[in-house]
Amino acid sequence: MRERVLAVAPSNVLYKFHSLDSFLAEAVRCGCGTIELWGGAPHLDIEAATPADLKELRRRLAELELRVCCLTPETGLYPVNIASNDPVLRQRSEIYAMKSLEAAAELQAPIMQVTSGTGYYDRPAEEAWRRSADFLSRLSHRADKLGIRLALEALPVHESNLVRDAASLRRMLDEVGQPSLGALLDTSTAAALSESPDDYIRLLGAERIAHIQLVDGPGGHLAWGDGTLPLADYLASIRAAGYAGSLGLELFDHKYYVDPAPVLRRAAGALSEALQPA
Amino acid sequence: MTHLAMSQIAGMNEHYRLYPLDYFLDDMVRLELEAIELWAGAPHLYIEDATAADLRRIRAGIESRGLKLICYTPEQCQYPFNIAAKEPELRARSLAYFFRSLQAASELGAPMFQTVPGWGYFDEPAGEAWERTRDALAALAKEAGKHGIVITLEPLERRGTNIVTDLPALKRMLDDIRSPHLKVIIDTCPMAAAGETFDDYFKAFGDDVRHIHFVDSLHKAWGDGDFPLADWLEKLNRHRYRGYLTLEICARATFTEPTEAVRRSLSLLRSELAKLKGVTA
Repeated sequence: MRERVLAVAPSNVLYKFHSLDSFLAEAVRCGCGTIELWGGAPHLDIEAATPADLKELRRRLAELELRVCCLTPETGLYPVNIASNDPVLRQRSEIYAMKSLEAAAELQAPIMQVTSGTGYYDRPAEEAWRRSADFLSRLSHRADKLGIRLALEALPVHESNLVRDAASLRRMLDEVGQPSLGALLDTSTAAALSESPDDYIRLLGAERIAHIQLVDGPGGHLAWGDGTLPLADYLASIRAAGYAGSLGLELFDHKYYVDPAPVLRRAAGALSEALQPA
Repeated sequence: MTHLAMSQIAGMNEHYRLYPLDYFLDDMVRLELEAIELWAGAPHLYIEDATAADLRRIRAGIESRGLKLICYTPEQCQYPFNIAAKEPELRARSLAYFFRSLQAASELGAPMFQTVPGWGYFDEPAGEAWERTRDALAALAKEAGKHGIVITLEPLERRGTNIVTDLPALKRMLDDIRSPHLKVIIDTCPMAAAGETFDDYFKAFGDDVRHIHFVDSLHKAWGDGDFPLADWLEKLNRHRYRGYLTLEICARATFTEPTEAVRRSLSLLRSELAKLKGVTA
């Protein structure tokens, strides 16, 4: 069997203080034909985006022959939480997620990243878990209709008391029980809990891993070479499991923002090199 | 003589975001803090969602506990808003957010409102972004004056803006605007990042230093970082600083146990202030 080529897909979140055009140009220069699109201002402010904005973005991407492997709407920093007990906040968050899904469809992204949201930490998590599961189920139905797969990402412990490791991720997927809801493996977030790609593959099954954000760590979202994770081992595991998706380079760190181009080149270069057959 | 007192320490809810606002307010009472600075962000107070009734409820929650709101600080680094945005729609949306926030500050009875400069694209000359920030702040300061509110402007570190990152730029911005309603806030983190000191600030601005975000390095709880607390307290005392020192803790590691971060900070501040009293008595 011929080995599939895993696409290296840089994310524009690294360029949040630069224009989207600068990012797209650099991605092309790095030889990437695929990107992971971060949905955040000023690049793609999903809450404010009009259909015309999305059409224009789609045109720009087509012109540069760039494919979006995954849309990742900003949810960590923005005031959204699908599990909130505040009905106003929750409803706005649901509208945001639904609109993000439509944006993913318009941009022909086959996958969209989602998170579980969080409950308050001073009360039992069950109710918030139920709110999250209910909405993820509704979102999955809509995703299925649009032909999009959702990739649920575990959050760090200081962001969520719901889906925050491989075990709770599996529990949510099992509970929602929709094939369109898969998992997202973020290697650095996983490593912060001493979880590896092998753990995810073993616990979830490779076929349920919809997307991988392959970044150095543990913790943080570092360029390859800036952390201590074993890239070659990770790639070997991912390939052995038959993962055929893209490898999102979701790099962000305060120290990268002033001059992101060298960071992107370095990380994309290291990853491309590690992907070369020996 | 020691002027500096524990009553100048203010608590803040930014690192309580995984807990309800009431939990924070109860904590302030338990920890014997009277002054609070309100971080306006979800889930505590997201101004785009808030109704007049929400604001009344929050004000009552503060006042019924005998707490005193000393400053309103809208979330402005994490959200999409940017008063210097190049895109007209985003800038209009950002200005609307700030004016609504200012109105909320007034309804909550806050005497002060904190801002940061926004940012322009890092690979473009900062001149036009500077002008957009200047015009936005001038308009906000004018509106603040009508409410009897003072706007304070804080530099950010270079990694977060290319507009106002140090004292000289802050001075230039204030000189450009020249509003009696626009004053200075020092945040210990950008001050240290710019290699500047409290002496520099008091020398340049004197009594126009109206507010201080007083936290350990990387916005950690006092004792968790490496800033020279004793030395800084001595300097603030020497400059006879009379304003508030807000514990603007927002290191993510503190989010799960926010109370402990405040407790740790207060205990260290108490002992350092006691030592200072011993020395200056």
